[in-house]
Amino acid sequence: MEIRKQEPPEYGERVLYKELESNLALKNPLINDIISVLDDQGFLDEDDKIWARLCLDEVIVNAIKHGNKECKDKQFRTGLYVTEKQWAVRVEDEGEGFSPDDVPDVEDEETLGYDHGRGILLMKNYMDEIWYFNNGASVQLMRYKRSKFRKLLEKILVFLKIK
Amino acid sequence: MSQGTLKIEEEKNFTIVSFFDTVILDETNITTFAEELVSVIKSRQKINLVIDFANIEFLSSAVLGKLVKIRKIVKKQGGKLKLCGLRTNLMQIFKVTKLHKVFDIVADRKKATGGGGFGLFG
Repeated sequence: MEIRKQEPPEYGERVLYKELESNLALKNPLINDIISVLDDQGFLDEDDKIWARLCLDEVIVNAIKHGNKECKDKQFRTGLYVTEKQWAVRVEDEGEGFSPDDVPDVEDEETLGYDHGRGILLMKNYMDEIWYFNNGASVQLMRYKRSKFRKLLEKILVFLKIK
Repeated sequence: MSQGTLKIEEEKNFTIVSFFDTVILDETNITTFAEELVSVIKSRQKINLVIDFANIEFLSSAVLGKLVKIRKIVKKQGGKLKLCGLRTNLMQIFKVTKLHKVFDIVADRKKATGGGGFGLFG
């Protein structure tokens, strides 16, 4: 999946919006709120909850830590959008941005031992779209709702690929 | 024996580290856990370390990075590191990042201390 570098569309209705100070202690309550909304709307099974948390953790930590450098004067904004067939989360910080191209590829034998760079790899595994925009200071992730059959099929394909 | 938030047990010639409570391991607490672990490693000349993840219900990518660093410290001392007790959905994170090829991962602490290799997931 290609990472897109332009302003993404807004999908559907915004069902949650929070503007928070750059404090890592606020991360898990925010993620819990998002997971709770997605769960109520039938987007998540138990595996999804792990993977959605993983992706949300990634973009929120990036905004607080790498974007806003944990500066309490800087805010980050999180919006959750849903339609009947998909959900999307948009996180915007007040930092200088970054280029996802600068993140090392940690998939080959030589770079497997790197201690960073796995966040994007994990997001690419679960999300259907990743958009970086505003010079990389904003990100939007989107995932389509799956049928149980498609989820099973995807698990089998991932298993075969990893094997 | 305990050290901070970690439970530390000695079994055969292995040092087994586990977590007292069910926890989410992420950016907010991994530095504390890593510091405690490094202190355990450095208090021994050479360690056969087993980290038991049975109480871990979630881990973020920051944790993977710290584990890679911890593995390097253990190896530099001539020791060995095994991971065990990973729930199936957390094991998937290791597989997607191909870290299951880097770490020695076994099903549980019995296999970890019994000389087994890649037990459940290999």
